[in-house]
Amino acid sequence: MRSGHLALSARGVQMQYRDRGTGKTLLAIENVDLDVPDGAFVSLLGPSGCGKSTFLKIVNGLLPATSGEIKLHRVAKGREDAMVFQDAALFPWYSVLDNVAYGLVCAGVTRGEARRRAAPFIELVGLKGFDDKYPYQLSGGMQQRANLARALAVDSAILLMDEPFAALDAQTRELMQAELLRIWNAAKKTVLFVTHQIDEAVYLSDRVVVMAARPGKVIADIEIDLPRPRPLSVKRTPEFAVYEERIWRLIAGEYEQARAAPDAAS
Amino acid sequence: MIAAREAPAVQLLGRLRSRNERVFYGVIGFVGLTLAWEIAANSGLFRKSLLSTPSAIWKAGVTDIGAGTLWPHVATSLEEFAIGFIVSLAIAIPLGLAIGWFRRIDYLLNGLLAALNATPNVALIPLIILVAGIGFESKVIVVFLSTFFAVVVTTFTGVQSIARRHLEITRSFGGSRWLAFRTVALPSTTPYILSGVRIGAGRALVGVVSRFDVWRPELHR
Amino acid sequence: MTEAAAFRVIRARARRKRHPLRRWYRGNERAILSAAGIVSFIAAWQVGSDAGLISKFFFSSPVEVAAAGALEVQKARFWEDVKISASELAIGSLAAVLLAVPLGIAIGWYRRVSLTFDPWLNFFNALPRVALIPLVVLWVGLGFEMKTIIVFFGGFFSIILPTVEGVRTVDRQLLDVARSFRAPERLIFTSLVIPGTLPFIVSGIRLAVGRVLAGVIIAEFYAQTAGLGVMIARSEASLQSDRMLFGVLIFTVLGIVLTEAVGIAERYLQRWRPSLDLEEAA
Repeated sequence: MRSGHLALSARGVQMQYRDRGTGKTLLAIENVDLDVPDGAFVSLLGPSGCGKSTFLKIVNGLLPATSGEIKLHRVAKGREDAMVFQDAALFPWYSVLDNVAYGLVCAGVTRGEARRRAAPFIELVGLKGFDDKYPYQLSGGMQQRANLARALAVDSAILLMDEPFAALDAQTRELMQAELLRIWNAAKKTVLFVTHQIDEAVYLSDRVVVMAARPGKVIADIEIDLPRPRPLSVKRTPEFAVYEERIWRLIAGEYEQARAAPDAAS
Repeated sequence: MIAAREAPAVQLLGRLRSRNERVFYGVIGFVGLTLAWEIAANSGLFRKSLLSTPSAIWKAGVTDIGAGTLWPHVATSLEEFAIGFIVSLAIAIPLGLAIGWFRRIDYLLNGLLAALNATPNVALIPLIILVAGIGFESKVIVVFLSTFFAVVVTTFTGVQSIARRHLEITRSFGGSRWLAFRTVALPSTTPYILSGVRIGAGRALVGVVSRFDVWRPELHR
Repeated sequence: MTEAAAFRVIRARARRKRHPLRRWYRGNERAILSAAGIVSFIAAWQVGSDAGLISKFFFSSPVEVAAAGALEVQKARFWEDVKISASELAIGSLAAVLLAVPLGIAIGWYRRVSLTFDPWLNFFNALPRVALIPLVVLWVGLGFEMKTIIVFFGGFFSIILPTVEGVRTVDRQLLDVARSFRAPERLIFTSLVIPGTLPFIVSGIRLAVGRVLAGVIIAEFYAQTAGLGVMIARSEASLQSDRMLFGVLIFTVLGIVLTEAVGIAERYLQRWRPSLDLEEAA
């Protein structure tokens, strides 16, 4: 299934902000290296403020990094990457169909053609029959399905997902995780997934990249060796718990360290 | 049950009150104050020339409409209103969009607009009369001015309060700024524009009906 | 296959060293451009009228307006007018605030008061205030009182409507918190209703600035007795467009100063509210 090349390769990515109030320079991301093989599902896991979403925006071209370099494997047509946003990311004035078609419209496809090409993705994410509904008529989970369909429709090689299930309730979130694996399997995409939930990262990923905050940096890169396909019941297995425990220790250790020596940590 | 023993009229009143409390108190307030006005005016405490009565106003209205003397005035007012209003919208909406969308146009014009906006419109009436007299054109200008600022201000406020996330989506998918303007700025600003148009229409109506009546009565009576 | 063909490379944007003058411009762009806007408007007016493109008879020119102003401030009559207009403004506005705020809070808080008064508020608010002038004139004559009352009406409705709105939109959840702690009515008022309504009251006052200024002018135009509005009217009658525009300019400056003052008060009263920038950064 995998062609063996890297879909994404980041070297020494750094992000500095200048606080407009104090005039001080803040280091949001420090020297991040990351390789994502083609077809892999990789999660960036970390507490808020570790720069994981910022990193995603840099890859997407929404923000320029202050130093470093990111290479995305070129695709024959269309964009290399497409973003699935966190929430409030559908245009309230467009129907589900027009929202899903929007990425294609941005790529210069005519509206009619974009709608035609978007339709199968609405079906893929399980929103069949909701084409003409407006976002306010959808539940949070359904909105995120549409959000996902929009990114899938542009047929990019890599999907960037920015905490797409963070605003959902716990049950819906679990169901959406299972749905995402089904869709990932069907669509054969590379995924870079950002989250702050350990179980979500372990359940979904081939690899979990753990980040620490202030400044954001990579502290571990863990291979998740659980068999696929993964039913939700995987979460109740001892192997799963071992991964969770290991990652939790890493994050808690980082937190203890930062609390013991707040100056040394920054 | 206790309620069953009450007189039917009281029951009815009570039911009316609890079901449509809003309407109930509204009607009481309106009827009550109108009656109070009528009684006060007829009581002889005030001179009739000073305080008309609701019934007299009603009679005068019915007579005017019946005699057909009202309609030509209404038609003229409507025409003045329509021309000033449409011209105003045609300039104010694009201008407001431009100010909201292009930061530098905003910077360039905001001082000027704040100054013009702070000038009470009525202060310009003498200038308008000097330039255009007291006829048709000057009323059109008044309608234009009354609408203009309300629409410009609400329009650019609307553009400037577009959700950042929405603009980010267009950029994320590689859409152009012009596409973002058409697909994001226009639809999300529309409610603001409409509310500006509504406010403007209200002010313009006041303008067309009244502004010149305060202007030295001897000139046009 | 070369690397350039195989990958799309996203490079960092290095911080560029800019010329100090350019940096200064970037830092103050807003102020610089808005000053440029005003200056070029005045310049275009002057050049246009000198070149005969703009009729001097109607629109005068900046230089002439300034000259007319310099002449005007030496007249005793002018300062008499200023004093009268200022007193009408001050007394009318103050009375409007003092009456509209408590009444607005009562209407917003007590449901039955509001249901009774609402139609009247809406009716009087929709009614052009100038239509009231003849009534007020018959009542108190053409003097100072009538003009002050017109100013009062202008301010009153602009303040009372947002005040009512503000009381009605007091946070239900906080109200539940206060009631669950058995807070007395008085405390609910001082700790919740008043602070929650204050921003609405201030934004009403900002709206009122325009209305009271318009009220002074309308009333003075109508009465033709004394005040700055009369000075503007007399200049028009004697075709002195420069003197007339000087009078208009006074109201422009007054409008800007008052709006700005209310804006400062507004920012102070809302200092606990996180600014938009902070929200986006989080």
